[in-house]
Amino acid sequence: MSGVASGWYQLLVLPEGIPPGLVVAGAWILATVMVIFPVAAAYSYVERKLGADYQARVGPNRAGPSGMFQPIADWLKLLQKPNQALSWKEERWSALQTMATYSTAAVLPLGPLFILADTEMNVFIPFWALMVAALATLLLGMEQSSIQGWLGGSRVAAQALSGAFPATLAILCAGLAGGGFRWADMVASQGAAPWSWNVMASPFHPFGFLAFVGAGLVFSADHQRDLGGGVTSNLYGGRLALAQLGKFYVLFLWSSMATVLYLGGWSMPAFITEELSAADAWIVLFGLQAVLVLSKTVLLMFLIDWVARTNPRARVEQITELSWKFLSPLALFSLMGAAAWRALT
Amino acid sequence: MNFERETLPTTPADWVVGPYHSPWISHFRAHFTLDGEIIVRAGLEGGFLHRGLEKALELHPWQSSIVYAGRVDPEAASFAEHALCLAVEKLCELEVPARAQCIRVIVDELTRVSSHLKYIARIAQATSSETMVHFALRDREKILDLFELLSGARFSLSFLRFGGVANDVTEGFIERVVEVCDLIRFRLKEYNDLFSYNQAFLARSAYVGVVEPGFARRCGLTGPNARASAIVADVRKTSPYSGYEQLDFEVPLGQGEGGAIGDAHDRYVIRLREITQSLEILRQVCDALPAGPFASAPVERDFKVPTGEAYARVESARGLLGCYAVADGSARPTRVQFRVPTGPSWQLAPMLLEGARLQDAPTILASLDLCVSELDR
Amino acid sequence: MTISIFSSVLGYFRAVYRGVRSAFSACRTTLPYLLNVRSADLRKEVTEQYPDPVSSRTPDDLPPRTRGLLFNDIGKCTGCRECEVVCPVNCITVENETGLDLGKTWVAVFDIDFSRCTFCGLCVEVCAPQSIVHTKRYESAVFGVTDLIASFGRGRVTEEQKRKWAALRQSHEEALQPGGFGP
Repeated sequence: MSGVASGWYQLLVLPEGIPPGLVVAGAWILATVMVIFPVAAAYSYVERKLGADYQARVGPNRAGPSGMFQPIADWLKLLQKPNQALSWKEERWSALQTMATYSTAAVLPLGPLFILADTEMNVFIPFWALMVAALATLLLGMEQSSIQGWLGGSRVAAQALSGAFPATLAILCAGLAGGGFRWADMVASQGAAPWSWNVMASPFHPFGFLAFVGAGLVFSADHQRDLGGGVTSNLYGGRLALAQLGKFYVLFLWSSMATVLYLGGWSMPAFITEELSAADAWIVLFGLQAVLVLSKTVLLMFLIDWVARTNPRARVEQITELSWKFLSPLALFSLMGAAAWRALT
Repeated sequence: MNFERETLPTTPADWVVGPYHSPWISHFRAHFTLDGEIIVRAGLEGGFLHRGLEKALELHPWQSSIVYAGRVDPEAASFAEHALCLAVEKLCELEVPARAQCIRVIVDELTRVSSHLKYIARIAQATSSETMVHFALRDREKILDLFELLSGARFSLSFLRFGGVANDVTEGFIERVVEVCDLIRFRLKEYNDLFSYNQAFLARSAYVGVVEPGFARRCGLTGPNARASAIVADVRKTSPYSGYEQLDFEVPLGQGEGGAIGDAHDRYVIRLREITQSLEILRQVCDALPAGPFASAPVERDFKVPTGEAYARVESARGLLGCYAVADGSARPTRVQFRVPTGPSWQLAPMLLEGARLQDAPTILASLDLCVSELDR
Repeated sequence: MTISIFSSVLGYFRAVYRGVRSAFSACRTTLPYLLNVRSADLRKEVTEQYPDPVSSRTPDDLPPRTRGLLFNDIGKCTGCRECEVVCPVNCITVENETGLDLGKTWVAVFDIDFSRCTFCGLCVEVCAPQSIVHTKRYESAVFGVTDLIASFGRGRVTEEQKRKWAALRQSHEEALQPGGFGP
């Protein structure tokens, strides 16, 4: 694990003989449960309240002051639903889908301390994982032998394929400015101020950012209304909650990658970093950095959600057309332009 | 190991949706045959809301028939009530005082605006524009509050009576109507910014569900659906009733702004324009409400309608609503039949759905303004 | 007519521009709602938070003509049965018996079945003594359908009651005879 696991592994004091893989796996599970679930819960509340705000509604306001305990109430409600048993065939694809999606927690950029594995392949692991998840969704849909499953799975696969291409180009564009794909390197190349972020590294980088965010929208756009939920149409209770969590998680992952790639990640103003490291207050520093990344991510997610809720949804083939005919040329243009800029300056 | 099939099946698949558990199909059942995402064959099965209204009308005295007429389409109740009243007034040769006619026009136009707002909400729901749904329904609430002020109920007003209306307008009602009209005029601008010409909505509704004029005429389409296909037909102009001949308003026609004439976008824009025209009519009537009685005579216990038959037409929010009443001189109707404007749209819907993408089906069905409760009665 | 490359490229960019502009325009429309600027009245939330009386409407806030649950003041009711006849769903049941005076009606049974009532208001309209009225109450959830039948009648006259009344009538008649102990 040397060179791969970042700071957190060295900080742990472990008794001898525990295989490092087990530690990493345990940390992985902890990351999913302790980070993703609470963030999903908190974000669902914020999203519902803000979403209600611009729709002239009130949103949750019963459970707790201003409805703050609504996520807990939802969670308690789902806990008391019976367990749904799927056929073993559906189960295997569902398991593959879940594993592929949450395997990306290994590279979730939450600060220099909290990344499970910081490698050169950081950005491409989520891609591979989300492609596998899309394939698993397709196979799950085929297995369900219902119209919702077939069409829902095919649509997800089509969207994933079409979104991957511009996303890859946009990532390369960011990598040009970042000088490497380790999260630490990427953030080190950006400063705390907005004009030192990667999105302003060249006149072409904003297009790359747009292409990346657009690709994320294409990836996670949910338009299965006419199918009544697509692949998840026959789920209820805990499984449905997990499926919705998966949707939130993909958007969250995408936004956090966009934050690190283009919006400065966790880089704080130099004087704060110097002060805290001089005072040896590492926990405070890492905590602040995690909070900064999370807030930028959530802000980006809110903006995406706002656009999605106020505008009608396009059809699936219009979304994939958008990706192929608009986002891909845009990303290509930004990549070529950024490369030319870098070569010439 | 058992390989049941070697390749994935590619024959068209059947799918039955409804009448429950479906966000875009309300109160009817759709039988689709899908080839991938294309609908190869579509069939709509109705009758789930059949309540035997027309038979029930024969079992109760004439006074109670207004209530049943209001349930033909509970959300736009006053049109059917109006049609029934006109038919019976023709049979009894009852004069309706001018004030009552104006009140009827006010209620009708308010109902038209309310029905069109519900239509906007439905088509916004079909294209997943959540914000627009809430905005449209919020403004509809104001109109329903007006109805409650006037008649005591938000839907199914049962407010019209033979020879006039049940009650006079309450104090301050006319001012409230004018206020609500101003508010809706303001909101229409908001809707246009938010939704009407939004590119995503245009992409979903332009060139979708195109109804050509010749086709529309052959199907017998009336109302906004027909006018969107550039057919000039409005009962308020061709055979005016209740004082519409004295009012100055236009009948908008579809112009194919988004795409083709008669597509879903046209049907939507037409209704926006009709709301504007209704607001204009309301303003004219509220400005000049004549004094006088609100009904010619109270309906007595043994109200008998002389023998005969009469047919009356009104322009409901969906098109030509006709009421055919047969009386034989007794206290109960012999036969009352309603000709509903949803009938031709219902027959048109499967033809529009065939060949369309599955994702366009909600938009097509929502844009046709199918009201299953008036279809099934 | 063949489309030149120039116009198709132009069309492409025009479509992109229009799409971006309409997305922004939609978001801009909802911005005042988010930020609650200026006309607070037009942009405030419209959710009625039933049953909180603070924001939702209590029965007192409803307009005077609201057609809520019916109430029959049996003291005024003459038992004419107009309401029963006019009701479109036959939800009113009236049974009359002779009362103390032979001319007066004793409304023994007056049941309104609210599971059938459509709240149309016709019974209120035809009632001559105006004993049946709409209240403004609208909450009528019950646990059994039979609980929805509201009884306003005075109850059936028992045999004992009939005998008492007959005796009373007789004593009144005797009182009115000349030579009796009346006034």
